[in-house]
Amino acid sequence: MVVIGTIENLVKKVITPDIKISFGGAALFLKPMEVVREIIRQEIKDLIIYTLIGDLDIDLLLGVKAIKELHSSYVGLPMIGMARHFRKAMEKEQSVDFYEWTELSMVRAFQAGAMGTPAIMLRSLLGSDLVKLREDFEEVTYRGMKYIQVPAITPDLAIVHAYAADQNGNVFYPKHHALDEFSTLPAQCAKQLFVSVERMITNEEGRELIQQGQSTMFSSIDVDFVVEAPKGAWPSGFPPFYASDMGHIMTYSGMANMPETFDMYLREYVFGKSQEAVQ
Amino acid sequence: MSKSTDYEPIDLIVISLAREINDSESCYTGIAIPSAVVAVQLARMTHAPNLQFFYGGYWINPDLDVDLFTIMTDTEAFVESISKAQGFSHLVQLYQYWEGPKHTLSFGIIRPAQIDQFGNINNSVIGDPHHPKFRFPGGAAAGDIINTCSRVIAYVPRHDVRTFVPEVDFITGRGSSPKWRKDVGLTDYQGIKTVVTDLAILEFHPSSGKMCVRSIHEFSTIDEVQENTGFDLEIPKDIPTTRAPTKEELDILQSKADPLSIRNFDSRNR
Repeated sequence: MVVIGTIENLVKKVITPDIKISFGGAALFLKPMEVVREIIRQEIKDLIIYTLIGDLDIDLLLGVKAIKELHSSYVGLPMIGMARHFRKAMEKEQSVDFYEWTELSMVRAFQAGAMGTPAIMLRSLLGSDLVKLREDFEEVTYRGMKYIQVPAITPDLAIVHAYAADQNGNVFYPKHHALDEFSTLPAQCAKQLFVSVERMITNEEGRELIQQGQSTMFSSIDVDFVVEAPKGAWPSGFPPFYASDMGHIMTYSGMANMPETFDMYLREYVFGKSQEAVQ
Repeated sequence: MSKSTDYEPIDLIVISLAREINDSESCYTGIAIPSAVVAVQLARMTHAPNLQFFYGGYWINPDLDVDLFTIMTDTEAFVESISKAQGFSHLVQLYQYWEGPKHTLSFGIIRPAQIDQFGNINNSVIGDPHHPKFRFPGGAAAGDIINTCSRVIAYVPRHDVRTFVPEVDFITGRGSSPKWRKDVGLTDYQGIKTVVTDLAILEFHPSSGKMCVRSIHEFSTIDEVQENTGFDLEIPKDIPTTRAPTKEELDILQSKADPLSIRNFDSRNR
């Protein structure tokens, strides 16, 4: 049964310390940013996060020390530079356990989670020191061939941002945007799915979308929680509806430099209402 | 820099990368390394019109006259980039070519933060991985490309001893050692074959797997190359000079392949 509610209520109800979460999106596209901001507003801590390419989502959460364990292949602000809180957390504070994957191994582990197989073998990690850091990565021989076996990723919850949801919880996102797999892969391996959408629509509007040739990104049986969050991926991009707000991300990058300016950023764009002015 | 030229070092890097590409090959480049996509586009516009190109895992054979920065910041440009691509790839579709059932991609292009004399690369961390002195963003797909593409072309915008180290602090992607590749059964994937820098073009000895000089640029000297490398390079007796860009290459680079000069994101002052 899909629960439709406000972002305040459902984040409070569902996202608890020590929960394992996979985020949809990658590299400043399709990130569930409004849910990230709500997690910060509610001061929820000790999260375990999986994201293929971490950017502002991860750097914000690390800035408020909300993540205790992080899995990703890359954490930075693509085209702009380093993620400052990520570096600080790693180099100065040692406040987060970071597990670096490669893109392929992480996607295969998402797929393994979706298949219900406990682990998957691949070859691209052979010879990499990433394997030495991990007790759960293992070199194995299968029919005379060497592989690295990695565990499936099985989060408690996936959080993704999509275009629209009808009153039954069917979720829509235009199909021809190949970016959708950045969100469907982390969703399919998780036990539960939390979706923020640009807008709620009626069931009739949902049927019209299907008649226009769209398909559901997730059907109601896949979905557990739905909240409405207009511009909910901002400042990451949500094509074809809005682009990544690189100007804002550059502003962030500057303000993340010092604790005082980062606090100003949080007051302005996370706790404040000025973000509506931006939108 | 002993000689002035009518082009910038980054132009020669991009043009030399493009020359490493053969027509009708297939390839992948990531989205965060601007000179790679410019080099591929330049090759497609000159000698390699039949290249099959996965760009960032979304676009297939894009006819982009805008750069990725514009695509990310301008929704209309993003939508237009889709209409100008010959196809659009899902992640899992791309990965059919990385260890999947499809043919192996001919090459990938990477930009290592550190590289050693045997072609191991580090895009992860300097110092103790749990208590790092410097934490790079992470390898993303660089480690995967090294073991799934037939060959890898690397570029280093600023050739110096911080990047060229005797032994990398951390192996994000394993090097070109033919012996190791034979031992683990990865002989179809040769690792890094060529490294293009702002001073020289480097390659690896076919049997020892050790880095050697293929050519030096017309504005650099072999002493400069060696001084900026943290280990002894194998140097041929007669050192070839890297072929200077032709007027046609420079024209197409500036007017069509990279009109907005995104390659300058990779440019480093010396």
